[in-house]
Amino acid sequence: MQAFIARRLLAGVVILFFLSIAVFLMLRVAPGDPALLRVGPQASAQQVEAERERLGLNDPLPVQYWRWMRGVLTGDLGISDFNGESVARSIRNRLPNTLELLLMTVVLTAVLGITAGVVSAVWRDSPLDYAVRVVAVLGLSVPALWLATLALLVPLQLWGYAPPIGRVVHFFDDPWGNLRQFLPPALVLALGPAAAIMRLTRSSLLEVLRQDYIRTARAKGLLERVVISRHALRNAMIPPVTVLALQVSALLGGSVIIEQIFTLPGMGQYFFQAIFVKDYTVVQTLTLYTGVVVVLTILALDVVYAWLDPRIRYR
Amino acid sequence: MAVRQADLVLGIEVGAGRRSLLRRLVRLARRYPLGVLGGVIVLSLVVVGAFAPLIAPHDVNDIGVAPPLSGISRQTPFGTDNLGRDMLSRVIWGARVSLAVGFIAVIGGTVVGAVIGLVSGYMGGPVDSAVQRLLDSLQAFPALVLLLIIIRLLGPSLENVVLVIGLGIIPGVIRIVRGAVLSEKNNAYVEAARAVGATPLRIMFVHIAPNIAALAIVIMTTLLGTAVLAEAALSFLGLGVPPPNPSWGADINAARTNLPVHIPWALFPGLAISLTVLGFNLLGDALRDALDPRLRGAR
Repeated sequence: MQAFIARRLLAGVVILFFLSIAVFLMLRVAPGDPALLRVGPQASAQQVEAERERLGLNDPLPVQYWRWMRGVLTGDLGISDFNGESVARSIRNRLPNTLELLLMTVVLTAVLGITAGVVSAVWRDSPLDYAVRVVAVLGLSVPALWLATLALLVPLQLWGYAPPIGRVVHFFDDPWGNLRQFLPPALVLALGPAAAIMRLTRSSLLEVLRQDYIRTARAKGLLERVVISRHALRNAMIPPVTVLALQVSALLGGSVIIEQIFTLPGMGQYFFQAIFVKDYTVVQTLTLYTGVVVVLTILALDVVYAWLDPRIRYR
Repeated sequence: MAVRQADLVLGIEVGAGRRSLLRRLVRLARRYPLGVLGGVIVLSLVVVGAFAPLIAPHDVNDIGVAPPLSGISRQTPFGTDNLGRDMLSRVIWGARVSLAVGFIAVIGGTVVGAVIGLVSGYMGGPVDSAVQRLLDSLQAFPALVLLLIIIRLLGPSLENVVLVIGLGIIPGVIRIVRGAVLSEKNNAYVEAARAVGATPLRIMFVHIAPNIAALAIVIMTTLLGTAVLAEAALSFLGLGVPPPNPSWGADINAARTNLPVHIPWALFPGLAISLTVLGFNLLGDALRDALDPRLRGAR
């Protein structure tokens, strides 16, 4: 197992290396000069040139790449030139917020999606099953950005209520205030993925329940509850867990929009601002960070597989 | 297998003779009522989009149709925005923009992805592993983030929105088509074609391609919903279809960022997005069940 994890980590590092080069080159071959954007269209050619020099854009590409990588590895990423803050400090302040949002969303997705899927499969073709399936197909169709917008506008219109905005209340200082800030965006973000997980859990569990070993378990006279929870569920969980892990990548994308709407100072919002002003270092670094999160999630997934299905062994 | 079911559904079953096409369609419709509902939704939206100039009561950018931020009334059934533009007309024209972007991006992306998946899956070897490694790297990368970077660098325009959404769906199409080709190429008909000396190109595009056509139709239907959502997200963030084109996503964003709060302004464009995506999802689900059992439970 350890050897397996080590090998996968190594593969992850290789993927991240290619990812870093891809983003680095993409930003540099694309049209649009970030120096020009900073000094403004009225600036003289010398001013633009000076700005390019200051941003280090005149150096050869390998030098620029090495400077950035050294920064990533030592944690010294310089000063962001759109808000004058240290990039490393911005990330340190924002990362916990995005991680909390992601964690809450993943937990909500798993709990809601799997519970609904199991209920729907066990009571197949009951009114409850139909209700759950209707909600799921709606959940896949309703855009999160619209739900989030309504979640803010409707309470504001009806009761003049707005959730605390801007500064984040930390969970350990004020749990209730923290939940008021994080729960609505997490719920909105979780709806679509939960619907997908629900559908997958349902079809996967129905598939497993048709198999011979389940018939054997029932024939032994086990309670249906035991058949489902101890025999069927673990095997049925593999596809939903896979998709759940792959959803993390999509959630990182979704957090860009949701953090924007709920004005949560997280990584998504930071990324969006950096894209707008073409702050290369920040865009590159945040992209790499999303890569790290996804690679680690997929690794965790492989470990969970082994626990769910003892037949899977890693060499 | 897949193709036979596809023929059945599409009503081109060989030697079908006696039973009329209509009867068969009715039978299918009975079996998949939700699919019919989805089809009706999609078809109505396509009609609304195509005939927007005739249907919409006002021009999209006609200001002062009614007082700004009017509510729901007989004159303005969906209310007006902060410039007094008729929201019903904007939602109708939005269907045109959204569906046009969706169809062009999805058809283009599916064709490119399917060709790559076909070649990669059939040829195998170093080409295939190179494509696979590239897809693995792309997977470590949220699609929306990629779209945002590219569109910011290229600049928002109708063409670029189509381009990035098309690019965004290619990896998924490659993966699914490649998987289908891998199982398809073990069939006897491929062996037979090879035995009579068909070139790989001919085997791929004349023999295998028709057999994965049903799969492609299913993928495209579901992807259309995804593309509509992506267009809305880009426009919402101000990086989508630029004005004066109306866009559902952009209107929701405008409603969100302007005070005072006016619910109808945000409500109807979002309902339109939801209805469109719902239509594609219902249709896609039914097509998947009818055409391609391999995909059941996917997504």
